[in-house]
Amino acid sequence: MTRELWMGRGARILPPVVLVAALVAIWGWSAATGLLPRWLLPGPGAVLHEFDVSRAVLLKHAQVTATEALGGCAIGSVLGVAAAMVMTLVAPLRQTLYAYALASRALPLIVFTPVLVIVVGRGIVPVMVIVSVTTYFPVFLGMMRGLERSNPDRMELLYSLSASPTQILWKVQLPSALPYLFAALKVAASTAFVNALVTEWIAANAGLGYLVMVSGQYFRLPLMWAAIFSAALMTLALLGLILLAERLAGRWTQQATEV
Amino acid sequence: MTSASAASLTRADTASEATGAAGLVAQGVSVTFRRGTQVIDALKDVSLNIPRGTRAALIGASGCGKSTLLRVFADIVQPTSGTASHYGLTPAEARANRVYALVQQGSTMLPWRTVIDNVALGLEIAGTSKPERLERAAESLALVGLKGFEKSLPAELSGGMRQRAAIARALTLRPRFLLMDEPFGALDEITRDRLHFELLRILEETGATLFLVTHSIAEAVILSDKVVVMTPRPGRISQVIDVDLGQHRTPATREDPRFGHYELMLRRALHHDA
Amino acid sequence: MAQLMHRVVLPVTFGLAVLVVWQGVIEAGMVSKLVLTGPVQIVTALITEAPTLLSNGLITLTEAVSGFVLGSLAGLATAALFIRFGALQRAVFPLTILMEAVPVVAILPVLMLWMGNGMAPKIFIAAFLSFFPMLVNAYRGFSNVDADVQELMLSYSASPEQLFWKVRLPAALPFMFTALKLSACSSIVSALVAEWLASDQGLGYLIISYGQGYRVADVWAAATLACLLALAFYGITAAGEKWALSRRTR
Repeated sequence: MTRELWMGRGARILPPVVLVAALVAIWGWSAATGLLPRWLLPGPGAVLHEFDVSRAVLLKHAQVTATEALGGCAIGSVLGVAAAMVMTLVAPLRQTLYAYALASRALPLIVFTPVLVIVVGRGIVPVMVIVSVTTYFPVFLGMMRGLERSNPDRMELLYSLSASPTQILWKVQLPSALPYLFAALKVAASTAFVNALVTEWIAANAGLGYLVMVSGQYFRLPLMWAAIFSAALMTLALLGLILLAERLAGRWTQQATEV
Repeated sequence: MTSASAASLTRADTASEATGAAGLVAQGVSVTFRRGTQVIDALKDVSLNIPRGTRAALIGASGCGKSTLLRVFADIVQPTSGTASHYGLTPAEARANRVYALVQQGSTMLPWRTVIDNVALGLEIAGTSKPERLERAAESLALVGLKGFEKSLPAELSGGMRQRAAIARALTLRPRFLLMDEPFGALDEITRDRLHFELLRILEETGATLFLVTHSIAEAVILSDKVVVMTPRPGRISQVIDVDLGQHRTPATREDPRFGHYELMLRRALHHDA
Repeated sequence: MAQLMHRVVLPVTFGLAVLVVWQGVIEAGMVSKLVLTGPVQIVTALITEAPTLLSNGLITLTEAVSGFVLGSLAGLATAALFIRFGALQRAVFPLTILMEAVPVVAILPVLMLWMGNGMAPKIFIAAFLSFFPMLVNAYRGFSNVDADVQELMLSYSASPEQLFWKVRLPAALPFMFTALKLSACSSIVSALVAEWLASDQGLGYLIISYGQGYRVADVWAAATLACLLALAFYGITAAGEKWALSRRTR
């Protein structure tokens, strides 16, 4: 049993691990032989070395970006869930605003960054606002969809028991919406850092995005790649946390779709 | 299960019952739905009287409006014209006072709750205290033969067991009416047969009135004293057949020649209409 | 009638009210005109700056649409390869999910070193961002075939190619549209953002240069046009979905 489990897991994990190792080896080899010009892409050794040399710089900028991305993501998610719950209970509010929320998913809201910079100035605030807004809409819409798509039989059952709208929300709709919430959170988490980085280009003087831009301008390629990899690692860490939370809530999220 | 505790599952008689008011009554109920530009007559001028204590089945081809009629009684669908009542209460009052309990085709368990928490759901919504609702839920679980599965999750039960739990959930409310919408439709025939006699025993012990929607002829005959035959487009009642197979029924009842006779009658009624 | 009231009248009234209050706040001078501008000024800017806005908008749109088409086609082809060769899928698929976590847009400075600051890096980014949604969704769609249907095809001794063209591809169509709708948005956003960094043309560039000149109404006008373009692109994709799937959904 355990052995089979291990074999199954091995079959899943081994191929991508081998592939990554092979890619890194090819990358290292072509950089070492000069096949890959240094100005194009420095070797893995050089990037790793940069992590060591520029640790302080990377840490400083990573902290700024982490604050913006995590803070914005948290604010946007909490507001998104709260707004979805309120709109589920208050029909006139939903009828007035939902159309706008639906349209917003197609809008490149990030282009309003310069407007924001004019209003609040450069720094952490405009970046965090942009991350919050770009998190808010997917979380809100995912949650709304989850709340709306609660199994009609369950809704009918609660109705026949003359449950109040609030009781229906807490006892059926909210648990049923959790899988949708987690799907939305995963999307939000994977975009939070990218949006923070990109916004930093024009709205901040610190952060990994700023570091990527500046080290690119000065042709400090290893530092640039180290900053990019740092952002990728933080994104993966956030995604991992959300996956963990989803697994912990597994009793709801997995089975809510089954029976 | 002793009959003493089963009796406690029956709702105490109220004044309206004492005066001998009718049971489940529909008077000239029509329901029309709009689908785009189409107008569908789901029910057309349906009148019906199911005396209390009766076991009634509603049978017809799919799309004949039998589920709609059940949903009118459950206050889920509002009639376009006509009225429906339970013991003189409107469906809305009946729902607010939890006079009826609904059992749906799928057992409709909340998969994140344990079986006993699912069964206690109705009482929880009504605001009953936790110890009392757990006690009553345990009682009804015992009545449907699910003692020992209180802490299981619905996903861990078989389809038949989940349907028993759904019946137990309905019983905890001590309803006068059990409104059942094809409750055994998703089960295999062997499980279904067994549950039929469980349901008959429970009805005997609680004295609840049964209003069952089904498309199985054998199920309608074995479970009911009165079979209402419906025809589609527009949905209306074509025939009401009294099934005289006695109060107490057993698997042997199916071998009674009268059982086959009623089956044939129903089959003819359904086919004649089609 | 009541439906019309709820679905149209309420949101439209709300939208108009917001615009009126906004204009009122500006006219009353409650906010400095250097910081915020009103809807009337934005519309005026949209009209007076129309030639500049439109010619730059066209450039952004070209970048976004080219990237969208290239990336989606590549994603679709890769998903088809994954379905045909299971081993390839097992090795590469987890990596593609990893790649989605990489802030690809942030690599733009590198791309510019490679490809210069013309349209090429923007198209590349838009294509890259369109590639993964299509790959993941199309693969999911290809795999989404009923076991029953697969058995049926097997009983007809259908070839893998026949299974693909007759069953898998049509079954995947709704999934593919999900990806296209996602990419329609992200390709516009990535083209705009890429123009921030280094470009002398495109709406993204225009927004930045207006911003640096504190031409508030013009910034709003350009951002509004960007939103309209994105909305139109998304709308066309969604309309295509509705048309293609209209017979399937009842």
